[in-house]
Amino acid sequence: MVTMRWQADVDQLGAIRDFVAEAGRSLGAGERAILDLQLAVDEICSNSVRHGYGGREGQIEVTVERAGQSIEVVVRDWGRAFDPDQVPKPALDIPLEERSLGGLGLYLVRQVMDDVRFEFDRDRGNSVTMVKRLNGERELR
Amino acid sequence: MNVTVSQAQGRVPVTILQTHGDLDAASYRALIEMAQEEWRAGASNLLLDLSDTPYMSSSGVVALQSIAALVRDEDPPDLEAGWDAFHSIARDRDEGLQPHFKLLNPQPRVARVLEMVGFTRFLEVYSDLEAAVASF
Repeated sequence: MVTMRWQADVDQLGAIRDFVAEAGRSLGAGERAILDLQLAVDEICSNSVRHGYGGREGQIEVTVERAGQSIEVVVRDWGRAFDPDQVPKPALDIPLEERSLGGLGLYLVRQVMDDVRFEFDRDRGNSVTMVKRLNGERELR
Repeated sequence: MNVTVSQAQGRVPVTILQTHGDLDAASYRALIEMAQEEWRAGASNLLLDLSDTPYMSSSGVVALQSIAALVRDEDPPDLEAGWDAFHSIARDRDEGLQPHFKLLNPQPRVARVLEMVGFTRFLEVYSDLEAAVASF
């Protein structure tokens, strides 16, 4: 298990993606799974910076660990509680002119992860736990 | 990420914006601002070259959506409001593919994101610069 913290700042997103890639590789994830993990963690961290902290200073913690045939990633922050049920689902089949912005980040996370769970604890903060199953030998070292 | 700009002449003048680096929440506004600058300077056909952009998150998708609105000569969407609430951009059900904003050479990873959000149904994607320029 590897854990690291960053300032809640969009300028840290590149470093966070690099961390996820390195941790994923060290835990046996293949490149396809790593790309998905990077996208999902990026989206959750971006959400945390923009909404959880809303411009205020704070920290984001990312933990990556191997859980059987899966990689589990937990993104934790101590900002405003996030309720995924309040995020409307994006309409993907309508012409571009009629689309509204936003809502796509969470949609992408759910597309690339096998399980996504949101929790809020007053003391321990918000956590988003994401599971990516590794698909056989291709993903295993 | 940074953005370089070049011009090409097909049947009409085409402004090519090329992004260099990842397109994420830290960088997407720079792309929108560059597109707005070119639009104000008279560019009416924009080709976005994504060949040097290995990664794009939903923020990049928001940038593309904002540029598509720009070249339709609509007010750009409110980016801040967009993160919190859904709101309409414009109404034109008959118009599907965007005639004045197209994409060139997205890398596989970026193409996958575009595919997942359904953008490839509304934005033409080219792998050849000459064909892309000639398509406007």
